[in-house]
Amino acid sequence: MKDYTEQRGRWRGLNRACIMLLVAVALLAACGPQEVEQPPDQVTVQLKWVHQAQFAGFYAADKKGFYAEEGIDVTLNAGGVHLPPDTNIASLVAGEADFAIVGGDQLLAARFRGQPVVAIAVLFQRNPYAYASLKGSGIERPQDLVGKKVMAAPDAEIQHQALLRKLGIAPDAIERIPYQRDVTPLVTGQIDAHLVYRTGLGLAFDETGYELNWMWLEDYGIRFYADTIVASETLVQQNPDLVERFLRATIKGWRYAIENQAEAVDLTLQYDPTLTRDRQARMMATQTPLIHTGVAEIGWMDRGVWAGMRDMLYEAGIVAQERIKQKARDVAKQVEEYIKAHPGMTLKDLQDDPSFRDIVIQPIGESGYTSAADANTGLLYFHPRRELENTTSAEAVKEQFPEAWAIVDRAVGPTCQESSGFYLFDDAEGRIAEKYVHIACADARTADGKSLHVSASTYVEEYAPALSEKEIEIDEAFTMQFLNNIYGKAE
Amino acid sequence: MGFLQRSLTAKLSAFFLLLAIVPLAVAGYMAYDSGRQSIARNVEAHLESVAILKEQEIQTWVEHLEHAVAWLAASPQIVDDATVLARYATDTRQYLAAHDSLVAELDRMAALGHTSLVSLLDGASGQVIASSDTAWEGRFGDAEPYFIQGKQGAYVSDIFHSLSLGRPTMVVAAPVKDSSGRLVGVLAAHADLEPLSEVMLERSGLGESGETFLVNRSNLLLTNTVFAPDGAFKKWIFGQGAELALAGKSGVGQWVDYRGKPVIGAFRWLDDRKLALIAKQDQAEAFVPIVALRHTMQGISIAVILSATLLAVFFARTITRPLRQLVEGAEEIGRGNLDYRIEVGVRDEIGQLAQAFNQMTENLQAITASRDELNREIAERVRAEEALRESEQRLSTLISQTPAVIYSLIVSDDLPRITYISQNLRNVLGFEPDEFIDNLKLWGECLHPDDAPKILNASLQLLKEGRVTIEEYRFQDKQGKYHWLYDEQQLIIHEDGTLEVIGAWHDITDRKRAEEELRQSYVQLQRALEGTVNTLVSAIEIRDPYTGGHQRRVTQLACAIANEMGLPEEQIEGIRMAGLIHDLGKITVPAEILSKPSELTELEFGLIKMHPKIGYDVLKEMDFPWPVAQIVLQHHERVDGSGYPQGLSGEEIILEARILGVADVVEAMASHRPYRPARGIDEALEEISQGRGRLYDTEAVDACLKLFTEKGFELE
Repeated sequence: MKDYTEQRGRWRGLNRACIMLLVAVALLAACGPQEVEQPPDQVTVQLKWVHQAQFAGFYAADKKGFYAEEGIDVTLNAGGVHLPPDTNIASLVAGEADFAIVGGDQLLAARFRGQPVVAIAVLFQRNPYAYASLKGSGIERPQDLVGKKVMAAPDAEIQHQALLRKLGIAPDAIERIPYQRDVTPLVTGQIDAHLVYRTGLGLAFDETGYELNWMWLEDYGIRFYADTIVASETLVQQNPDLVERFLRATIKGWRYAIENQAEAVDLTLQYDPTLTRDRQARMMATQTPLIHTGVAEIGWMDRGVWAGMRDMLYEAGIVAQERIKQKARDVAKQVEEYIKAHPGMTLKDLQDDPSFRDIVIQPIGESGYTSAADANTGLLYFHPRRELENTTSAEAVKEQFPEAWAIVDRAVGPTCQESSGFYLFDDAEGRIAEKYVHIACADARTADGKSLHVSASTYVEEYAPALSEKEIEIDEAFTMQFLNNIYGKAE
Repeated sequence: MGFLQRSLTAKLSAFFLLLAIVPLAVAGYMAYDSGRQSIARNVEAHLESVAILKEQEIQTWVEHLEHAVAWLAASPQIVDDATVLARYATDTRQYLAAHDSLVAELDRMAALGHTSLVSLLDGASGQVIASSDTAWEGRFGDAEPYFIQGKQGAYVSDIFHSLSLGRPTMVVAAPVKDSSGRLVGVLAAHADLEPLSEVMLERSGLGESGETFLVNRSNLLLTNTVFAPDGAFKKWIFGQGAELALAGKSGVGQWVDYRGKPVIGAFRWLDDRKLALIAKQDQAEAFVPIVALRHTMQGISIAVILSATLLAVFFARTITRPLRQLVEGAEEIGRGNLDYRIEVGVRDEIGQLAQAFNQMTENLQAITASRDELNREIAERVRAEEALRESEQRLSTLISQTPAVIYSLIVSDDLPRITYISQNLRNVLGFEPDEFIDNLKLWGECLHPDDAPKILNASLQLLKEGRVTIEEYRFQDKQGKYHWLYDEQQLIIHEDGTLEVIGAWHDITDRKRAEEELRQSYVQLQRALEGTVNTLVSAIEIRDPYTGGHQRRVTQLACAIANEMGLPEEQIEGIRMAGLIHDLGKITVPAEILSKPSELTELEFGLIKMHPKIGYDVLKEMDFPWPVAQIVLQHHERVDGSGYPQGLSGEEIILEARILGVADVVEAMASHRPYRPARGIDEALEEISQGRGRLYDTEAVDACLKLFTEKGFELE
């Protein structure tokens, strides 16, 4: 009898141990797949504009915990008029932001400038710019714009020109009125068509009560990506897992926002309570077909579209312009660093310094070059033709090259400002051709208190075509790897 | 779990319960499951047929569109017009005519329904050169898949949301080729998706929760549903049915839908269109019939569980109650209460067990009792042995201290053997004890020959009858001098038949001498006393010879009466003494009165009556061993109290006095008296007979009568 009891006792003990083990395992399993509780990744997103329903998907992903699920702690920084796309790209490159939302063309422009950024997804696959005209005005297609007064938003210029080119309409066949961000000109009949951001000023038009025609550029085969999510090449190469997690949560947020539009508006208002619910709701409704067409996945990118965009930018000379812009900035940076490194040198010293001269005067393409002038007065200090230095005055330039002077005039002043533009240049040989110049600022003072701005200019016709294939290729501009992973599509 | 192990009730109840529940549960579950399965199969089959039907409808619809577009694209009119448009400049007459004709055709087609917009795109540029909607003319479709694909052959696009139409649509395109097979343009028709929507929304036979819908490869819901009435193009469907269909599978099953609810349905992959078609119904609704059954089964189960539990407990108790009583009984008995008898009230095996238990308890009691007794006996025996040892000790001590000589004889084979004589022998008779051990001869020699026979007799009697005998005899001591021994003997008969005589000798030689001397002095005393009395008698006789003779004769009669009555010698002696002087008091009575021949006067009689008292007064000082004075005082008392001087009655009168009284009367009447002649004995006897019991003691009278009548007694 004793043995039996002992055995029973032992078995019971074992049984209990087994049960406890099972319970422990179950608890551990229930704890979730994370073996070690990692702190979430800190991610900063630079939005394209101020807080509004345009970024509802981000707000949803943030507030509904989709970022948190992916182990990301996100900061959404609003953009605005004070943050031009170039600045946002720059902060991306500098690592101040992890992701930025910029227009697709801005992404390509950055690429043309040689900046190491890459598009990971496109949110607005259809461009929000559309022509508004009053119903009954008879303007139902772009062809009807001939001889009419048209305002076009500057950011839409490239598309507008592309459209005209495609339709074979000469740009000057249309009377261009300087752009105003105002519904009044159209509704009062001062203008006949207004190329506006459909989900921006376009919403204001809805509120006017006037019936409008909307002409979409897409109907004319012009496909132009708008809001694009961009990241630095460094981040994509070094931490692709973070990029994928961020994108997955963002797409989930956008899906949620589209499915629950009323709630999306509520979430948007949390980021800016001063917004009006009605406007945001209409923004949401209007932008939805731009974001997803029902065929392509949210965020999807098509190489054909990027290529088309590149072509349009190329046609518009943007490629060349951006390169020139970048050149001006690069040289300005070098000048800045040199002057800071040699604080004892005066302007005269610099003018006589061959090393400095090599830096400040650099060739662009065949006949283009960089030069530098006084940032405050515009007096030319550094020029390939040395004899022009210190002599050419503003008045002379103004007289000879009024267009050029206008560009310079914008740049000079108590504080230096970037400026750029086209101007007709009549060189000594009598060749009058269009030049493009970009003026960048060098933030440094010589020993005698002079500060410089750097001009980069070249003949447009000559420069752009000379660009190599590599300089305008777009395959490195965007990557499908994250979209493919998220949507489980084999490439 | 421990409770189950400890309680038989629980075990049995659990067992009964299992016995009741398990078959019920199994059967119930099987019935339920089979019912559910059959319903599921039914619903699945129904929904599958619905899905297949819709699939076919969609197929048909698309095919119809395809055919229509293809037909139109191939129709000579269109071909011709398209060719003209391609060749001529836009402002020419031919162009315009062809354009109008084309537009008319396109309008016609659009009017047929199913398409909301039909356009012709220029084969080279992709521009819309003719359309049923003039607003579309001039647009470019060069980037559109339907143009790119449509240039090569018939094409049906995916369903997508058209920005310019502001609603979802599907484009069916076909190339328009001229007679030489050269591409002229592409005919594209934007389909009206209403029919599709209607097809999908048609839900007769699907119940309240049944719905069908289409999902594209992006998991996008393309048609509105019952639960997402505005969900088309605004909702992504990630239910398991949709996932399976998008994986290319078609089939039926039960899954969790996009709402997270369990549903049953059919899913189909429309490969041509790359769409998933789902037809589903909530399981809650589909299985309503079975739910009722399930509830019923559950209700029955609960009822069965309850009743089974109750019954189980009840039946278990009928077994456990007696067992518990048994247990309690066993515990009680175990505590030592052997009088407890278990009563279980059942006759079955448990009852038998109880009986066996009780029997065991009884036996246990007996055993315990006898064991207790045994223990007691043992204890007593031990005590007895102890006591024996003690007493032996004491005895030894006593024996050595007593002046007596203790001896023991064992009689074996009729011969006594002296086995023990105490040491005192030395002191008393001078012999050593060893001299007598086994030496009966010596004992015989020492015994006084005159006493020997008496001793022998006594011994024989002792042996025979076993009485304690006491004998006194003479025994010689060592010097040959005789001692008187007082011998107290006792017979002990041992268990084995051995006879033992224990005796104790006391040397009473001195006592005997003293006795002799006492007897001598007593005799002397007696003689002296007799002498005294005789003197008194003589004194009376001298004075009154009549009274003397009377006293003697009365005494004689009284003694005879006393003897007849069986009184002891001593008493008779006392009567004799009193009788001899009973009229002593008459001394004080003048002689003249005593011998007066005539009747006495009262005064004289009064004097006579004083004589007992006077006699008493004289005699009371004398120290007789008998109540002589009282006898004298009372010899005239009569039984009824009529006597004198005290008037005593009955037992107050001492017997001797009563006897003397009777003798006195008889003698007096039988003898001559100076005042009368002898009345004779007969009259005397007559007198006492008459007064028997009243005046005279009954027994004394009877004895007297008996003497005279039977014994022939005669007075001297």
